[in-house]
Amino acid sequence: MRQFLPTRSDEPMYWLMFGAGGMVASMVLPAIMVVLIAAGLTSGDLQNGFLNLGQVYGIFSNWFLSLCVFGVIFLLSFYALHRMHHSSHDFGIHSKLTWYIAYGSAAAISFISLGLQLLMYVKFF
Amino acid sequence: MEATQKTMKVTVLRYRPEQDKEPWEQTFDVPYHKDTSVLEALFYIKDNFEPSLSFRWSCRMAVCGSCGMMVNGVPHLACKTFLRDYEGKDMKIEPLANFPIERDLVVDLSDLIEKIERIKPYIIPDAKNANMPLNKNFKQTPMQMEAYLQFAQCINCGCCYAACPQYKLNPKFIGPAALTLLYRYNVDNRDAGAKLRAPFLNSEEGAWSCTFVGYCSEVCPKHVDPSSAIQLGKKMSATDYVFNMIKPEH
Amino acid sequence: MSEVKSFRKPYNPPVKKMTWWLENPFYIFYMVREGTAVLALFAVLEILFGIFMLALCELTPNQSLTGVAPYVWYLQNFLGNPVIIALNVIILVSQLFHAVTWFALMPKAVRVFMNKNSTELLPEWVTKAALYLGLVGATVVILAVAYLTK
Repeated sequence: MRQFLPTRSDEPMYWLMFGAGGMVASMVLPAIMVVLIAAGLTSGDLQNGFLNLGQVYGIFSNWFLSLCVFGVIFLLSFYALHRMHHSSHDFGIHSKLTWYIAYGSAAAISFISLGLQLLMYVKFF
Repeated sequence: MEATQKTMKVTVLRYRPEQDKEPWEQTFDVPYHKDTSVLEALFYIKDNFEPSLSFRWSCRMAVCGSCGMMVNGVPHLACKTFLRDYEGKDMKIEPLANFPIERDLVVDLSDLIEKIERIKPYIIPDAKNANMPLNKNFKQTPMQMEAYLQFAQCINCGCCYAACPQYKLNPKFIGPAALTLLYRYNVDNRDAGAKLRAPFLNSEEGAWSCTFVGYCSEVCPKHVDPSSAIQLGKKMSATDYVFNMIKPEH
Repeated sequence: MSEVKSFRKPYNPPVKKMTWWLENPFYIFYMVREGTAVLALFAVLEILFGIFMLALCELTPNQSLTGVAPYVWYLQNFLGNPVIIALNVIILVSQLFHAVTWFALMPKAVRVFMNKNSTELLPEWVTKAALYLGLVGATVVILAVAYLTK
């Protein structure tokens, strides 16, 4: 009897990014949120507050730190949208459309971030 | 009977295909003591109130996997679940969720059986060992046995399928028990059939339909931990995916 | 063929595709766990918005306040907005909740033996402890760097 075997899924690629992003969300994101909250609370002081101009210049003019920020954005966006794509399935929406929306948005967020960061890096020099 | 005999309101979902359009509920007052199991409560109902009540059972000691059913909405083996743990509450017994109901508490498990068959749940030796004489044995160290033993405890009761929302939403999903057995045979050192099972693991309906809800491990009466086996299977599948990208097999 | 009439008529209970998860506290917990990803996405968009506003600025060392107006607006009117601060606190809590659920499940994907002659598996608490140490370590490093370089 000839058996029709199911085709290989591309899910491993997204799953590996989801796994890495989930790690970032659990280990790094809480600290980032604390910094963002602190930046909001100290925003009256443009010289010495958290995320003041000098500090963010320092981050984005340094290729390594800028790359770290990009890595966080890239992994977190794929992590979050992968999970939301599967949640749409949990709400009974089974469509290829949510696949395109989710991973398309994640790719768009990553490319926009990369473009802006490169632009800034060029502007600094 | 003692005056202190306790009773519990037990509601059973009934469905008689020859006359009912839909399942309906029937409630009984069942006396119980500290070692009355749900299965014994069903025996009591069948003996004293409703001889036509149908349910599957065999061993009464959690090895045959026949008496899986929903007790207050949670999949349980009726023989391993006791009325004393529901003291002060009412009990509702329904057939195993996510399977077609044949009659009363009897469900059609064909889908589960077919899926377990699909992953070739037996040892497939490599060419060298295929014709090993019967008086020779495979050698296995305690550690090699430990690698799969926990996942070999499955009794095919179907509780994990009743607990799995992904199977509920998409019945094409091969499901927790089949994936657990797939992993169990893949990591057995006597087995060389991983390649034959790979398509069922790597596909969308394979390990990749699982979203790690984790309820299968919660309800498993044999503590097999299917969700762990599936995550380990995903790691296996992801490794295979990466290797296949670097060096495609065909 | 048997002469006996078959009465088989399997009943398939209807599936509530939208609301199945309301029926069991375990499923509700799962949906909340998955829902934290929405807030993580919001955090990403916040950071991306900040990068966008910064990229709009004149990025010269001798900053004039007019040249950096977009970023100052982002800092003071967006991040400094009490609504956004409250939302960020909610995101922080949700991500800590995510971390707890993530770390609780992670040991299931790790099955290694203590050493190559042992039948004893690496205990779950070791994996969990390593993950919590990672969270504490990353938090300390990021906060220290953020504090010391400002």
